[in-house]
Amino acid sequence: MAESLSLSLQALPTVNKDKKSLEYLIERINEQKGSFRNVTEESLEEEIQISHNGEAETSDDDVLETVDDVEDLKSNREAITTAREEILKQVFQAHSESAQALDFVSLLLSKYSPNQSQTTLSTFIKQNLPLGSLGGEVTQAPQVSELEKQNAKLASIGWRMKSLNSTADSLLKSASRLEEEVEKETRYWSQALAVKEKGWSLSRLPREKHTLGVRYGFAEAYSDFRDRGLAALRREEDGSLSLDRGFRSIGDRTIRVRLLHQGKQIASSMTAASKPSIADSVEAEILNARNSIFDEELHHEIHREARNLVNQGVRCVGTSVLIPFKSNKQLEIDLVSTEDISRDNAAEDNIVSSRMVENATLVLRILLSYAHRQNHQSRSKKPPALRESKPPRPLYPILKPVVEYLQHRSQVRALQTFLAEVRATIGKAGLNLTVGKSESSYDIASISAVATKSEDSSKIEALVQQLTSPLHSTIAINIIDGSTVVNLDIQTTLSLPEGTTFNVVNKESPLQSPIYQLPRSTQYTTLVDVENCITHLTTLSTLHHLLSKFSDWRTCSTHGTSIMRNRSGTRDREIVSLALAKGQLSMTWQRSGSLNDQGLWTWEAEDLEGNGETRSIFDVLQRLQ
Amino acid sequence: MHELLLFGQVPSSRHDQVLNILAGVAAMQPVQVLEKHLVFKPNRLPASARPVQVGGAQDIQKSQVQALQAQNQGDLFYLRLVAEPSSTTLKGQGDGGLNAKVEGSDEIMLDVREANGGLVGDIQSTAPTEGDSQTWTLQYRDLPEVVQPGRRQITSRLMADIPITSGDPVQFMKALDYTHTATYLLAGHRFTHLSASILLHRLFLPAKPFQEIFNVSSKDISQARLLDPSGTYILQAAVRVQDGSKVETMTKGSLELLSLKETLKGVVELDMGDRLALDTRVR
Repeated sequence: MAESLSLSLQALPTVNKDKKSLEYLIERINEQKGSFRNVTEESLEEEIQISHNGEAETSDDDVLETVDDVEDLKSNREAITTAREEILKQVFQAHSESAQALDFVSLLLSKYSPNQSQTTLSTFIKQNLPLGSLGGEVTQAPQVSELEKQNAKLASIGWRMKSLNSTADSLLKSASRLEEEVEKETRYWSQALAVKEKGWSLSRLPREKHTLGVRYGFAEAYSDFRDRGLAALRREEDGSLSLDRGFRSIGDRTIRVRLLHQGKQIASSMTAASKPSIADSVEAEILNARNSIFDEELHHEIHREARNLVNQGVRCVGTSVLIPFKSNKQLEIDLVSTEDISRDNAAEDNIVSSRMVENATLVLRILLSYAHRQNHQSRSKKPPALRESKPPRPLYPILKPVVEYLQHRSQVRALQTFLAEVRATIGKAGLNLTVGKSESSYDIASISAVATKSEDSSKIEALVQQLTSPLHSTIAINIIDGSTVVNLDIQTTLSLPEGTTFNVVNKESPLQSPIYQLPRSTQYTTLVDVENCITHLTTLSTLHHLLSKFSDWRTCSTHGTSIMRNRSGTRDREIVSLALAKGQLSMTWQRSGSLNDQGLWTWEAEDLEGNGETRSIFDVLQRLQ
Repeated sequence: MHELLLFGQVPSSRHDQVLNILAGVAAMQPVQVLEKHLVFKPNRLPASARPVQVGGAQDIQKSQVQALQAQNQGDLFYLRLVAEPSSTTLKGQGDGGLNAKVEGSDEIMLDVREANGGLVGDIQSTAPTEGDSQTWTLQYRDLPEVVQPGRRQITSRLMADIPITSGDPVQFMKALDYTHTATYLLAGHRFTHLSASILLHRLFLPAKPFQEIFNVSSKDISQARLLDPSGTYILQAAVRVQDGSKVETMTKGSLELLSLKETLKGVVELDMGDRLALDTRVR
């Protein structure tokens, strides 16, 4: 029976002595039975009888009834209490009103019969007010004539008219103001729509939720520049649209590339012709803002990169970056405000542009766009796992290709000049050397070949990759009637191995030629070395050529630059040596045994003084017979 | 490496809309994802093979032996091999799938492998051949950590992805004494938002046994049966953390995930996964 057992843990009720008092009992009976009037002997006996019969007999109805009774009783009691409170409130109100009236009358009378009125005055008044301080007098209402009445009526009508008129006026004024406002709003929104139709992305400003903004920045730019690429489109007084680029904007700027010769400007990418258009409409203003932010980022990135290219002779002076270009010349890249430009240009009209600086500007911009594209690609890849340290922001290759190209071009040009000189020199001596056209990886032909091969989506990337990958040029040289063919392969890169490398490959040489025994491919890293090599190859093949023409001569040593012959019947030996250097081919002839028997012939590429040999080398050698 | 995860559900009717929204949020075009997952179960050592412990607590053992024993008695986990075709293969096979259809039959479609070398049906020779341009990854996922009430509501678990560069991954798993138990395909789109990877995908059950669909191609998907017949998509946002013991990076990762959840509020409700549903232990 464990489950039926329930224990009450309530404390035993304590019997209060006061509860046995008559007062308490009467109150209890009142609570329980309502009133003594309802309690009769019979009813009490009946109740006792019911309780004796046991609680089992009490039906549900009874319980319900008693519950109702109790509720009735409760609500009755509540009604009585509220009614009592209401009565009390009214009584208090009446009391205070009458007391105030009494005070008033007493104070009024206190002037005439102070003693009597003192008895009825309240103590508060008595203490705070002097007696007789309130007086009364009978007054008469003034006489108002009919005319005055009429006048007053008219005045009131006039006032009313006036105020009605002013109300009408203000309503009209606000109507016209609203009309103007509507006009302004229409103008604003039509201009905003025009901007939208131009393809700019309009959005709400993140900080000002009720302002329209236009995004002209580049999504893939470095965060500083990306976040600045948002401007508010505000409404001017007259309703026209105006671009608000915030406090950080310092006007439009643009990249300027100038060619300097010993510090003096020769050419500039900013000429009067290329002057940026002055913003006359909001759309032009947005366009200028976009160009400006792009160039600002470009300048920032160029500066960042230039610090890493100091070993290539790139210098950062103030805000400009200087790239060495040929001797004594420099390319200067700086960021200038477009306003300054137009002022400067007005001052000096003789600024000329050149394709060189224009192309440099274009390439710098293309390379930044390409870097943006690469950013997008790497951002779309699966993200790397989070680490404690953020990977550093990589440098964009923007200056590097330009510096590479300039270096490469100057090296190729120098080599071509040298080859032309050699050709002219030995041409004078009746020998011929043909220099093929240089073929470069950055030539339009090779680039377009790459572009057509690749797929549509990566066509542009293939183009730019051609620019950023190491530059290649090849020159084929044909020495002496095609007997020897040498390929020159010139490669320039700023990544390791750094600098320009020349690869000399002997494509073809006669079997008996000493060149055939040389290593087929040799690599040089300086121009002087490769020049020496070509000089040597030319000399060797010239000698070989001479040997093939004059059969009585033979070589002194395999790789020597002299040939000799023994005069038939004598022990005399004749030696002919060739030397090719600095645009001059010289041939010395010496016969052993006799000091007087010697000769020197020179052929010069540019025979200014006219003391050079005019006969060909074959004729000279023929005469020695 | 640790993985922080949030999951959401997208009904198929809203798929395109959510895809658009995600492209906007991530500022990139969706990248198509098609993966084949092979689930492997380790074979438990028979009781007799386990070293019998004698001597109770007084038994002195070398630490190495102890570690080995602990490993034997510890939990065993499922492993997953994931094959992902390279993007060019995906494109090429999509075209090839149409061309290679045989006699309009429903269930037979020429696999690229079949067309090339006729190796289908040879269960043993699942080794990637020269023509296969798909990358295999061996994936391990731990049981998600218990999230204390009041902490950030994010599923966090230990993970390891081991790229398989060469060899036959299936043979390798066999050699490890693992049995192949299930195959499913995962198809969907991937986005990258900062360091979070967002994957909107569905799971498919292949129509063919797994050996025959060694190469994953879009035509497999066209045949496969949806795991969830209602076609609901799963949105999974994951941030990987190199070192789970570094509180700072873990906080950074979870904050990023929570901010993504805030961004996508009203689009998809992201929530942490059910810990026991993500249980990878072998029972």
